[in-house]
Amino acid sequence: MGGSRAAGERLPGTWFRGRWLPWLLLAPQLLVIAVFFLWPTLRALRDAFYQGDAFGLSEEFVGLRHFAHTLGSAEYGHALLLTLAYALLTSALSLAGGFALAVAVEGLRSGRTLFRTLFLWPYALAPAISAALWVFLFRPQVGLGAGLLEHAGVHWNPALQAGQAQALVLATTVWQLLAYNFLFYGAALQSLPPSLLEAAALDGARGWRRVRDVIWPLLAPTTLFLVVTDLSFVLFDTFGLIDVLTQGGPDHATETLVYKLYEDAFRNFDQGAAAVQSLLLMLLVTGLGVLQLRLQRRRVPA
Amino acid sequence: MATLELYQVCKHFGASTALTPTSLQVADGEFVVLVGPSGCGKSTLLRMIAGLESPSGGEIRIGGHGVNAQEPSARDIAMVFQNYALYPHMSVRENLSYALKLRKLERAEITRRVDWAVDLLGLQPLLARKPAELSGGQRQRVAMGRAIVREPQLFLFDEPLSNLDARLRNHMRVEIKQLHRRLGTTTVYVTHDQVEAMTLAQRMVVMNHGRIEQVGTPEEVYAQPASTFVAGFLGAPPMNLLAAHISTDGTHVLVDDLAPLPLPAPQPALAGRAVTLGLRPEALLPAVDGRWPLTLNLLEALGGELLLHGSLGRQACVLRVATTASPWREGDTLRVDVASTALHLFDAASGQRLAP
Ligand SMILES: Nc1ncnc2c1ncn2[C@@H]1O[C@H](COP(=O)(O)OP(=O)(O)O)[C@@H](O)[C@H]1O
Ligand SMILES: [Mg+2]
Repeated sequence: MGGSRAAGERLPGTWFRGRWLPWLLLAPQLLVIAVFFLWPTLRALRDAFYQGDAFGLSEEFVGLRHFAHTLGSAEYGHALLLTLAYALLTSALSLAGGFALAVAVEGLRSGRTLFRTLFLWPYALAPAISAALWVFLFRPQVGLGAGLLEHAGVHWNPALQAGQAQALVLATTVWQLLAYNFLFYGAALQSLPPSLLEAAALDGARGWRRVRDVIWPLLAPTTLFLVVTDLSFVLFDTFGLIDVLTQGGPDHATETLVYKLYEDAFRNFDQGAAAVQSLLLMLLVTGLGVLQLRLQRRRVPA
Repeated sequence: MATLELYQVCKHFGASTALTPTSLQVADGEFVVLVGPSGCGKSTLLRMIAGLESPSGGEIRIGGHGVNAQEPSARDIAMVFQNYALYPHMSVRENLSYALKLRKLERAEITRRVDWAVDLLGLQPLLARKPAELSGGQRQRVAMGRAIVREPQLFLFDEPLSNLDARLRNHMRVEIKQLHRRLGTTTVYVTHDQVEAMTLAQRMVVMNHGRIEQVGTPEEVYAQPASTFVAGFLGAPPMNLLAAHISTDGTHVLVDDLAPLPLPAPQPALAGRAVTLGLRPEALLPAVDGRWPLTLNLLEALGGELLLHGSLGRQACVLRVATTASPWREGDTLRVDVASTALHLFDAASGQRLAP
């Protein structure tokens, strides 16, 4: 009977009469959420309050002991500070760089499309792949970048030098974020009302004054958005990048919160500590997510 | 204050021509209105004067100096944009003073000028607000304030009233006119609204398809339109344009098979020619013993006056009659007279004015 009518003739209501159909259609998504989100979350919640024996045979309830232990440990404090510094520094650098590049490219008379395309590439690569590129470039003795550094008199060995390992992670992260920020700033610049920039030209705002007094404030909504996105990228999506570049080393020098969580869970098999850390991270993600929604909702009218 | 001169200024965007070579002289202190339908090149011309577009050819002079190579800010002009283009992140006071700060004027001078503009435009209560907290009319006023504090040589307005409702538009129109009386600054004002053009202009420039159709005072342009385009563009409702031809002896104009209409003066040169006869709606007068019959299709009562839509011979035609109550009804045939001094003749093919 359904086949005898054209689709356009059906009333909208007749499609979803069954009670089971919506659930059936939702099922794949619900299953994914349950398996990859709900179940691990519940496991983490539970693990945070239990201690298993060495052979995984028995468990006992330990209350807040894991929390106290994690929050009180020097390693966790170190990872927390390191992560904050890492997140703030990379976000600030790539915001400033992305903005400067976008403004510079917008001001070009020709070749804008070329630059936009070129600057897009790092963004198109997965973090782990760009990290692999950087590993390749900065492998001591053989890498092109490493060679240049040696040439400049730097004794390059990020596998041993904490500062160098941190610089390498920093540079790779900024490189990737820069592309993203450049893209967003570029789009925002192009959508500014031309008459505002023309008014600025008539008022005599040029060069640095134009950027500082007019363009930067007008792009404030984009900046707010990017601050949050950059921070969440650095905090949560850089595991692969660090894993490829330094594995958190040398001596925990590049061990961010996410990386430490991974180490504790899969190298040290400390389920309780890992569960606590994942809960704390989840709080952070949620906080940033809420912040982002708030900011998006009250975008400054242009 | 300054003169403005354009010599053979033109503009192409790629293969398309926005403005054919155009020359125009604006006297010191004059208020000139560029008027024409959307897309005719008014904004392009204004933006070239401002320096926001560079001309494809020709020369622009302000106060006798060629400015083609000068940046917008060096031209000593101020422009009011259609969407006002106020800085959304600055307060009204900051919007007003920004250009002056950039010019490194002394603080006392900045304050003096801003206070003066604020007084003139009644902006006092708005000074601390951001543009988003202003109504359309208030934004418009702030945009004008931002222009006048600069005490420029030249004011440029690009359709500054088209985002306002009709009432406010009338009000601001009067304000702009008074402002010009007080300041006497040379002004070029762009609009597509013929009422704005007629009421504001000391001299109006009617444009069409990237060229100037006619330049003159509003009275001149209204009384002697240079082409059927100008005739049809000005006046509400616009002039009736009827296909007609001149009698073989050059003394009468013939519309369809209506009674011949004598010309105010014989035109032997036009004898037998196909022409367009232009008659303003108020030049056709109902009269009991009128020359022509008019079949009435539609009546529009506008309060003080009446618009009669009908047909003369086979051609549509509108009359404007100053009366409140209509003695006629739709479907009636009435007789109308033509004041023979009020007729306009245009070439049927080119649309250019022929006589009188
Ligand atoms: N930046 C531009 N690029 C291409 N064509 C343009 C540009 N600006 C204006 N034009 C064209 O030039 C013509 C005149 O435009 P404009 O001066 O804005 O008309 P008006 O202000 O009288 O409505 C239009 O056909 C328009 O499409
Ligand atoms: Mg325009």
